[in-house]
Amino acid sequence: MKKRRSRSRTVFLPVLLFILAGGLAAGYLYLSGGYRIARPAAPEPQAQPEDSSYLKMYYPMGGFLQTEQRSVSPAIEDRRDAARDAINQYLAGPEGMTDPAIPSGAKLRRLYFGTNGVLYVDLSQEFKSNFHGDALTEYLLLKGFYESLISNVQGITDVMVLIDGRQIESIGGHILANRPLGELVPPNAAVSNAAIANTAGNGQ
Amino acid sequence: MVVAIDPGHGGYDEGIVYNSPDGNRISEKNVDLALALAMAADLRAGGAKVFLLRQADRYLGIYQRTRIASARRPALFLSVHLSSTAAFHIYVSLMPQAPVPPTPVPQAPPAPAAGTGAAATNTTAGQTGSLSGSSGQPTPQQQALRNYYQYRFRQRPYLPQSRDFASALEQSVTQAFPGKNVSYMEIPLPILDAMACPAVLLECPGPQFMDYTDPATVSGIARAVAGAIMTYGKE
Ligand SMILES: [Zn+2]
Repeated sequence: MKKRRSRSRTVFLPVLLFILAGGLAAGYLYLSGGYRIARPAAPEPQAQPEDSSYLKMYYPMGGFLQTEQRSVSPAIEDRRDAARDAINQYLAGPEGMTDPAIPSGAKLRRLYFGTNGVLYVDLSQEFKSNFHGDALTEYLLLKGFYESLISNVQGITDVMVLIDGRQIESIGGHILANRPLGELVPPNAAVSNAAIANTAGNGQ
Repeated sequence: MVVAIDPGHGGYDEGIVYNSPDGNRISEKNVDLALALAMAADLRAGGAKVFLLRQADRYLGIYQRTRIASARRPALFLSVHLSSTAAFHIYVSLMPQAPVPPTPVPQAPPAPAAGTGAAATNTTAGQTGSLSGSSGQPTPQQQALRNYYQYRFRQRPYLPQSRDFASALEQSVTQAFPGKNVSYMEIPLPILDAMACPAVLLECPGPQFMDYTDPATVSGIARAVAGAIMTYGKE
């Protein structure tokens, strides 16, 4: 009995001291504003459910490439998933756009990772037959496709488009598509600012 | 002075298609040809020699156009198209400052059975002499590569003149159509890249923004373009 009492006292004292010390520390932190630092300032915008991932997409719109963040679910497991999701998101077109430059009805048939770092994307013929845009739109269609894949798929250096399993000369008759796109839509190929402003401003 | 005029699209390649409210289906390929024929008539009336890449509704690929036009050694090249907007677009080729290093090119689309990846050859532009299949005939892919590098950078020395030609075109079109915007752009356009002369691609306003069934529209644009070419040619 005596023995038991002394053991409970030895356990009780450190616990009491710990609670007191914790209370003092919490009080100090609260009064000094320390909690405000420790607390998250606002809801995390990037917080995402564990079963989804985000893709950064580049869509041709009104003479520009516009970026859009797209959530895909389930979460991307590997680069094949990333490539497939990015392609499907691209073909779906930008959010809420009534007249997208992306050809309607185009589907992903197959994709292959080349030994040379090139991602080969085999699309259905609608990607070609349903494209009815001008030279700038065609350029931005391919540029947006290339950028959307390069940004989201790890380990690729270039993208090559095939239509119904075949290499084609061009999608819309202005820009070549018979080679990996990196060289055909180079990063330095910018439309002059004046031209963009004019083009974007007179759509009607 | 031989002026080469390239009416865009043709055959199954219709270009921009517009279904008007009164039930007309307007294809860019037909408007491009009508504009090019009218420009040619005006230029010939002014004493110029004009060569049209197509005079009927037929398909021509980009490389075909390149070969046909280059064979005539034109002093000036103009490709005629329609834009997707209400504006005139005037394009000049955009070229890298130095030749881009040759990149490996796939010899053929990868075999679906491969699963893990596609085979690619190490064929480069510097090896065009060996580009042939086992029968001695180049495969379509090898021919495409040969075409690509044969014409890729021919425009570079002519870029300043192309910009001057674009400027003359811009002025003339702006004067003729004061209500329309005229945009100038430089993007990589293979048909222009391949031309060893001043070369411009002109897009006239889209068919939903301009009535191309009205002959006055076609003749108005043709007159403005022919005027710019004659002025540029004299300078
Ligand atoms: Zn066109």
